[in-house]
Amino acid sequence: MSESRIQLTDSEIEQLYRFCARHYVHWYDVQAELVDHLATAIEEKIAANPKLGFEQALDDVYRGFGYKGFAGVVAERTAQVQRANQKLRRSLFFSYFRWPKMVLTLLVTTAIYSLGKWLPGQVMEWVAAALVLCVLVWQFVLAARIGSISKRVSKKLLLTESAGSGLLFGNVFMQVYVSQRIWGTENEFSDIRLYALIALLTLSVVAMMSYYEYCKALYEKARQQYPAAFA
Amino acid sequence: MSNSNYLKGLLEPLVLKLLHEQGRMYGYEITQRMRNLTAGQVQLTEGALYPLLHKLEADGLVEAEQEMYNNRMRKYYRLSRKGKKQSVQAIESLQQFFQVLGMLVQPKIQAP
Repeated sequence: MSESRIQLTDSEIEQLYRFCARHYVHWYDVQAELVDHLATAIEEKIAANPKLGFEQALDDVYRGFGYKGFAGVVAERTAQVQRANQKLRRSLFFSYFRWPKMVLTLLVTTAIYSLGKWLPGQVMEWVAAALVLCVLVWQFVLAARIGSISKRVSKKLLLTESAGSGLLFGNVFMQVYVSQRIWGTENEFSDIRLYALIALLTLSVVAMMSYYEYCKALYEKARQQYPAAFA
Repeated sequence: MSNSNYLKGLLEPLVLKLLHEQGRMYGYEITQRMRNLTAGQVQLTEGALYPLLHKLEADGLVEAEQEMYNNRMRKYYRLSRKGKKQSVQAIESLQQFFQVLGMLVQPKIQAP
């Protein structure tokens, strides 16, 4: 493709980013592609007709996006990113039930099972409470780590928008365990209560670990693809 | 009926074909290439192209890479391995489809 000799200035490029934002494209990763499209088309138009001003050329090019403007592009991009992110999140979650990470999952379940079988009921009550507390504290630690990674992003990205809002999912399993009295009587740490603890604590740990990995993977991908969006 | 109405279902194989021939292209380049190849008869709108490119990317048929071009970021698309296979099939299907259309539009008179 022939390259036009006209080149838009930095301030005109910035103007195009603002133009995208005014037309409800708030994410840098979506804006970047649209800005390049608008800029290339404007440069070609001005090269063909030097009397054409920047604003007029921009209006002409934007008309090419049809009556919906950028809405169709944003909708498809959003759907695509959500689909890809959900797939990644599912895959990371279930990876803990496949080799090699399954070893970690089995270690957690075996450790809790062994504690439940060896320790007296009343002691196990305290151990179970301590484990639940540990998971809750650990959740805050992971949230803080994700928060610290997200601070490095200086521009809003659609790619990482879902990162940082799903850690509580792991907490749900713990809440189910804590809130249910059906697992056993107060004075006895029954088998059913032990199995519930094993299942719910393991799910909680797996959900949190996989979510943390998911957030890290998203930010890493974003950093590789859009280094300009990182401070 | 305008060309764009005919084009809707053909857009995906046509874009795959272009990427198959050109290696890698950016969005604006695809619209212009399509326009030039058809002497302006086919005008691929940006509102149709980008959602399609993003869909192809999500389906794993194309891979995207970003590069700085002058003072801005440029996103290039190229066929993935899966996309290369798909493009060959899509081009064959398209050719078969045109043959069938030809039979409908200009049916040969059958000998008695």
